[in-house]
Amino acid sequence: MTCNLSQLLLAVPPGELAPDDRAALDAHTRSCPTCASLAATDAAIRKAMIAVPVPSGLRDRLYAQADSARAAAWKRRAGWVAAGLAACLALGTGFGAWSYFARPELDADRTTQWLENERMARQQAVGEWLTAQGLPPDLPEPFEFGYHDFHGTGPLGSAELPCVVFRHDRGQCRVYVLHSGAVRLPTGRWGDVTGSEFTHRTIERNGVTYLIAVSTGTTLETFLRRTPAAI
Amino acid sequence: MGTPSVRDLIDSHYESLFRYAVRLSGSAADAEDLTQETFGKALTRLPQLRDADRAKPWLFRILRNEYLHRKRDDRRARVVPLDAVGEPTATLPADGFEIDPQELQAALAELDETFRTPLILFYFEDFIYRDIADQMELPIGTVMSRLARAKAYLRVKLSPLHPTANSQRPPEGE
Ligand SMILES: [Zn+2]
Repeated sequence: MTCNLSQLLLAVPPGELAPDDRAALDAHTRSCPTCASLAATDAAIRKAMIAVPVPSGLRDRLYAQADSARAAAWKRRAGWVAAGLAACLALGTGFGAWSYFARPELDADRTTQWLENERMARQQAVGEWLTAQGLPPDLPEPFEFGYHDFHGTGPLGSAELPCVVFRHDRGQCRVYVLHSGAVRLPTGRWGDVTGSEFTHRTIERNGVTYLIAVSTGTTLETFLRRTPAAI
Repeated sequence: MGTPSVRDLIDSHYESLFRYAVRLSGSAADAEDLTQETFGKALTRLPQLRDADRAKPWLFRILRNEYLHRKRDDRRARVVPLDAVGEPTATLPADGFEIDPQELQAALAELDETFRTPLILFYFEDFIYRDIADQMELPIGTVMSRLARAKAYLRVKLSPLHPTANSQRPPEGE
């Protein structure tokens, strides 16, 4: 192996290397001081990079947080459990049936319920916030608020405008909401400081302009609510 | 294959997420906040995670986005002109070369996030170019060139032969 190739391979994330390349690289660095020194620097940086102590109670705090998030959904079920208990007592079916009703629901079930609550809460929070900005509470498309990520003022060119951000695994959608004519809108494709590129379109409704921008790899449909059966 | 439970996700990934958050933010308190927020968001978006094997890059991406939201205002505050940095010319000793994690943190803090993240993910080892590119919503070629420049910067900065290596300012944090 030449030093050129060796240094090329050293620069590649280790996960990209085939076992053969890995072995050839190791063989080369054992016999070449220049490449050995580069590899040693990388190894030292790697070691320092992951040398971060993790707080001992962190896992438990994360567990507690996840449990309390689910408790919201659980509370709504409590009414059902009480009704179940009353029915058991009336029918004299006893403790076995009670414990069946009292058994925790499947996680997936509770998560779904919790999600629904979350969606509604977020949609409402966005609506209230828009109202506080003197804007209509509803967005012009049926957005999936499970993807809601952020609302507040966001930069658009040199202006700071009310903005609702939805984020999906594949990218993001920003909805800027402004009174029509307040700002000259950008044209063509544009990017942001994180390097994302966006395509956008505007919707006019009752004197309000909605500038909807979606990042490369997504379309507006990605962020819209599908029928419950599809989720 | 079913969706993993949130507890599974926590067990498998909370440590590396926390480490990433520390390296990204320079503060253990911020890192804990970011880690909590990440799992909170992950819980609401669990249906988006179609491939459980992709959970790690998915979580890292949520964390990074959360970090960017919080830091948006001072993102451009400290940017090192990477073009001015070259490869180290001197040969470093191959053995017994240690880097102080605090010094590393200080060097990272001087970098713009767009260079810091690929660097951290590269040294976390289990990320390939595709993962880094996906997380940053960038083409792979851009990731490769940023990574190369950021690594060159770091090597010079942390090299024991570098004249300013021992005069770093203290790491970020309150
Ligand atoms: Zn060599």
